[in-house]
Amino acid sequence: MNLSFTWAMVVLALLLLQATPAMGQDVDLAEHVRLTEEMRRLARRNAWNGVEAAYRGLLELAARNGDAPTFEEHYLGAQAARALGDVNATYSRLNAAVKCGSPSEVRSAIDWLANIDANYGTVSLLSQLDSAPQIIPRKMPFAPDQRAAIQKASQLVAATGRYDGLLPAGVYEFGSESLLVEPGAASAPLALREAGQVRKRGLSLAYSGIRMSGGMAYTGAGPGSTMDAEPGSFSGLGPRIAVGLEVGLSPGLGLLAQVGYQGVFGQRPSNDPAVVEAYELQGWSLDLQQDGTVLPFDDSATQMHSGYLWSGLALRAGALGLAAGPLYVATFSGSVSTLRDGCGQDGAAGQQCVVYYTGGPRAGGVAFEATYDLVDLAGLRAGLSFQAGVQTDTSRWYNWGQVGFAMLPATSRRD
Amino acid sequence: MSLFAFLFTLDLGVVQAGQVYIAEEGHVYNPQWAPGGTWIAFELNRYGDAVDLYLARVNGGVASVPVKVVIPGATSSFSSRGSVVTGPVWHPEGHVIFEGSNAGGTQRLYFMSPGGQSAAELLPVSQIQGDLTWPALSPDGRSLAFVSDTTGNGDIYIWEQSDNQVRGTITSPWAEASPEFSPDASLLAFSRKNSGSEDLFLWRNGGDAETLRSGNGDQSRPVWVGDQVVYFTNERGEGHWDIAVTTVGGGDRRILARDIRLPMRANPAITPDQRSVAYTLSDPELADRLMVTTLASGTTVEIPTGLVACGEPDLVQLGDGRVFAAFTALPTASSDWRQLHVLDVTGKLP
Repeated sequence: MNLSFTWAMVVLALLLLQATPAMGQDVDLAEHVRLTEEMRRLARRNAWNGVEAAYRGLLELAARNGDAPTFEEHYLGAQAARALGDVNATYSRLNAAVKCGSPSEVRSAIDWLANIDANYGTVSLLSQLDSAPQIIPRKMPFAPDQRAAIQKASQLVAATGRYDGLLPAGVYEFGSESLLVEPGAASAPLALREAGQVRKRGLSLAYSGIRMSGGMAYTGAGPGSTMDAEPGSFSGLGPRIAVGLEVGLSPGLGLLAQVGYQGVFGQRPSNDPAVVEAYELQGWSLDLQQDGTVLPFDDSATQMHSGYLWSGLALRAGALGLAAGPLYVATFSGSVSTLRDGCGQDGAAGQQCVVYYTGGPRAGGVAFEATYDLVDLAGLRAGLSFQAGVQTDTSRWYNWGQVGFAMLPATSRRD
Repeated sequence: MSLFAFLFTLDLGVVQAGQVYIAEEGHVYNPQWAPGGTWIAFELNRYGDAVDLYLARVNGGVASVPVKVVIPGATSSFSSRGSVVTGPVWHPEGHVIFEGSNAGGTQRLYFMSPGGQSAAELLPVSQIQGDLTWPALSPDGRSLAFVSDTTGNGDIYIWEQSDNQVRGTITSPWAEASPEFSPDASLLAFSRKNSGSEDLFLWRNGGDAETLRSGNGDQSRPVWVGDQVVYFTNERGEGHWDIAVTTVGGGDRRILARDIRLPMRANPAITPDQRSVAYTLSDPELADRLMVTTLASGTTVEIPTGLVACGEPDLVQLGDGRVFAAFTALPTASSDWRQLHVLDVTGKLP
């Protein structure tokens, strides 16, 4: 009995082992049928989340056993994706349906694909803003699938910061940008960035970038406090150019820092006095040679070559920009020819002479800038600029004004 | 499956209408022309089984094979038995809006672009629940009025395309039905069943509903013609349906036609020039013709068809100026099913 029982168990085990693959196939087939029936049942009630889940179940089943969904199943999957706003999945599922359907079946899928081609365009949207903007159509479409697709794309941008795929044709607002989607065409990629994605101690910059300015400046220097020891009033025109950085604490408020060059080229005094004296000064303060030697004659006109450092706050309001802040100017090469009275040996009035000074004063003050954006150049806003400022080297005041151009970092930009 | 052709022959002064042959059995009802007459929608009622909606493209008097509209969940590959698809309304841009339900399901509104993608639910349950019926578009197509029974009473809601929002508009303890926008979309005419009879009301955005026309019997299915409203009424008693017209803002109602054949679902059929109403008569002896009566003078012309039990006319003007009438009729007295017929009535209207 024991032997018979053992043999019976062995035979049964062999039968079970042999039956396992076939039983697995049966289980998969039953699951396929169940999922298909579920899709049909839920579709009749427009319960598309359920249809979507069942379709994904079919795809998982197909990946496991190679039993691909039928035309009807792909078509139902496309309808589910459409109702849920996933037009990209709709498109791919319709294509899958076309590949496996009979000629009589595929016509509806082909018509549908053509309908999508005729009404949708491809976009690539990226938002790196802290708060992702909505995709707002200028005119809400009537078709429910198109409305759902817009809503879904907005949800994806909000969740992931980007959307790549189909969007109904039309004009949209995406953050600060306008987007035109043409049917059957791909729009240029559009990215909204908070310029300068650098995060320092949790500080998020609204924008950042290079700023430049340049133009022609008029500089006037007032009389010195000690006429004998330094030049009198003088003035001149010259170029003024600077480059630096600007970072936005918010889209409307930023910090700037610039280094630049300022030149002043004045005229030599027009009369021709008999005596020409020349002194070398440092910082426009008297510093005669210790032996009192008169330096060689030099009748050069006024020239100043200075470097400066400017920093401050920048305000942005649309195309208008304002900035103001402290200014430090260091003259590395200066020569000034001024007219001086009382050049006789007794110092009596009436005898004029040209006094030639050289020196390199250091001055501090404030500067102001107003800009107006005109064009967008590779992420920079370019436009007109006006700057003005005053500074003092503690002995005299210098005032200046400049007109020219400026290039500022955009607060958002299209890539 | 089916063959569709327009045949116009002149026979002893009677214009023979072209028949739309449908292979499937059932009565054809409620033909509705698309703007410009490029498409026509109609229902095929198999009684107790299902009601299907068909669309046929019409081009220069020649039509393509009608195609059955299949709502989601009722694809042809797994049968549409039990589904009910009715009440087509055309959007100015050529989309068709209609009611649809699968067996045991709720009645919802669907959208379809003929020749394009398959039908899709127009407003998901997340936007408006319940059975949705009586879709009516504003003339510019940007507002949709419809009835939802989500509160159990049948109230009118309006969906606005501009913001994709549904707003409850007209609620009452009674059942509202058949909303229709005025030509400038500032007014909505509708009917309400209260105290057993059906009356007409007007609603202006932001205001309360006002009675437009009440009285004996039912006043039903209003349609606007300028500042006038044309409607069906059986104020003379059950079985006697008339067409009446009343002016908004006061004025008597006038009976335009008596003892007409009440369409299954359609509103009074207004001619493309907005001057007349088309109808057929309930008297079997007189039901072989289309009747057209002007609103202003009451002048009536008869257009013989050579058919039997004509009903449910709808008229459209084509781009070339021709005017076509679509209507249903029995080909002969012994025919089993009402068929769809199309008749060129250019120059025959009053």
